[in-house]
Amino acid sequence: MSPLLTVDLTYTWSQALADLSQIAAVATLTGFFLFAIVVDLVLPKHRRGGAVAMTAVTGFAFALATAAYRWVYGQGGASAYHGFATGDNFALFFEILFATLGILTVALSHSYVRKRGLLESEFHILIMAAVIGMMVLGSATSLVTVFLGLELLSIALYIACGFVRTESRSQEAAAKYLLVGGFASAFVLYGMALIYGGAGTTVIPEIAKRLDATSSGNPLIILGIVLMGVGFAFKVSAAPFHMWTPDVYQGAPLPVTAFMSVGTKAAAFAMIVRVFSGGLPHLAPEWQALLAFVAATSMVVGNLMAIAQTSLKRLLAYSGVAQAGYILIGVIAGGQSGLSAVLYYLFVYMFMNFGAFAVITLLAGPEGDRDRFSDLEGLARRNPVMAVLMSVFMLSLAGFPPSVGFFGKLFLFTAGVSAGYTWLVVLAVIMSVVSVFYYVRVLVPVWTASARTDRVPASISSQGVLWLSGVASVALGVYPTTVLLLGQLGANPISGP
Amino acid sequence: MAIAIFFIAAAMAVAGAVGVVSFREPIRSVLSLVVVMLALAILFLLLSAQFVFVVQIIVYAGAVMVLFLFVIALFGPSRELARTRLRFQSWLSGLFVLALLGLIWAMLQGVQYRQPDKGVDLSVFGTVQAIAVGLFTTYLYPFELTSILLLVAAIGAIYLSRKRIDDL
Repeated sequence: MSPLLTVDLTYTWSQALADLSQIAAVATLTGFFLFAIVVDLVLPKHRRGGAVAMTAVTGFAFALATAAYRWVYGQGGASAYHGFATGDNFALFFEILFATLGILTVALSHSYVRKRGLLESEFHILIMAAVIGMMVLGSATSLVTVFLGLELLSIALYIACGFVRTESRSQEAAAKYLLVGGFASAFVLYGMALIYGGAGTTVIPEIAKRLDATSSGNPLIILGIVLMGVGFAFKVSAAPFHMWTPDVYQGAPLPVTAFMSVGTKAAAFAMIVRVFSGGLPHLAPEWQALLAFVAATSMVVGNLMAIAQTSLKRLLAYSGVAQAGYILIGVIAGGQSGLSAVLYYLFVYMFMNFGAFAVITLLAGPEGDRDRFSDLEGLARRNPVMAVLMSVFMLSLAGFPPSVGFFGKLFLFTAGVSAGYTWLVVLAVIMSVVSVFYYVRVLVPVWTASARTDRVPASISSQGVLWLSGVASVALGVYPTTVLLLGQLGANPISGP
Repeated sequence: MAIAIFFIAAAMAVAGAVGVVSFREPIRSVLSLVVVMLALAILFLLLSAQFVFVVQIIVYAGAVMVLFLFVIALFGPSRELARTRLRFQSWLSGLFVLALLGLIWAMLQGVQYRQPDKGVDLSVFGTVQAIAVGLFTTYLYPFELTSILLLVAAIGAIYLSRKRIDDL
């Protein structure tokens, strides 16, 4: 009998509390989230911002510690709450990733929000809510919780995109993201409903058991896969469903752009791997074909469109479209090597992409974001540390050895070749060569001589973000084994050891 | 009988949905949305979901729609400006809708429908009691997640709707 169709009257509070340990990171962060709202309510106006920022960082640090503790001492995780969630290594890997990202975001946005005169406490509270949504997504083992996590992170980000109420571009970004995001959610939900209709359950491991290769003759399942795939492609901003990405990235305040460029992508990939690789392994040929098309289009469109951009935010948006294509190769390849390459790449992508956005964030003035190529002019003299780190991030995104970007692509592409997708990998390599052009083009104004001498100040917390991202982008490339091993352990619950 | 009611309600829902997007006056769009909500409520009742049926009428067709009407009345029922569409937009969209419908129709010819699971007692399924017990046992986790979701939406609505930064 399906665990979802009947009501379990024997379920007691002690069981619910025991299940809580499986989603310990989500629960911890939710506690701090509620506490931050109270802090914002009771403190005097001038002390709220700093206190909420501290609460947020503490919450992320505790969530990180909880997940790390369970990773080291846990017993591999079990199904909790009647199959709605789990605390397996896959979930823990993403919880660690999202908690780190949360700390980076709060540290970066603290000075930015003050400089632009925005309300600080609401900003951090929304970021916390989005991270909770991402963690829920990472630990979800039911289509119901997948959708709830997706909505939680999306709603928090819709508001965060329109956070600058006085700037029409920020409002435009919020409206566009809301409309397109709602559209994508509807696609995902419709696909999930059809899969539920075909399988009779929403619990993902249960779906994997009930649907075998003969289910590919069932149109309900095929339509469900296609509709979910379209919605997922929207969320990872893969072409041809990427139209919203440049506009939203450009309009949203920079720390939000930095946060969502990494966070939404990682969360959406966690969702794709959970649902497709974990829930529909016997229907792999169907969704692999769909994803291969999306991956090829993303790499071509993303890289070619990035060349023509004059705004750094839009350039990085199209670069993100292309990167989504590379990562999809790992998902298509599947197995332990493919999925661990995906997890490795998502983890290191956080540092290189967030670092690049962090540099641009520090250029922002009180009047708004400065994201034109000319704003980078003479950075080598104005702030030499930032110039060096920006070069590290760009070369890493382009995939130069010994950076993390090189090893990330290497793992993804070898997995792709050994799974028989040579044509896709050849396309990816060609497009990576194209990408070198626009990544290096960003570095030209940084290193050429310029008359500009105005300094670029960076607060201590932003410097910390820059250094951490920069060091990680090199160190995890020089010594990639640790994270790759963690990625393998994280992929085990889906791919099997 | 049930099949006939299903098709009547489904036709109402589709007609209402078309009305929502095709009327130019916001008031008419909202009233079409009420039709959609009522038709959906009937569909829920056909699936023996009595509680959802009542909630759908009271909350959606009732409270939410009244709020919509209030907001539109406050802003003044202005007509949507004409001539903002591309020249071939309506023809093209109609063509795509027909193509998509045809595709879905063709695919649905081979659907293997599942039998309902054994052991489900339809006399208690969908009652207030069954839903209440379910929310606090089997569906505890999604239920709590939904409450966080609504809390975040409320925070966002307050942030976006206040007039000046000093108001908070």
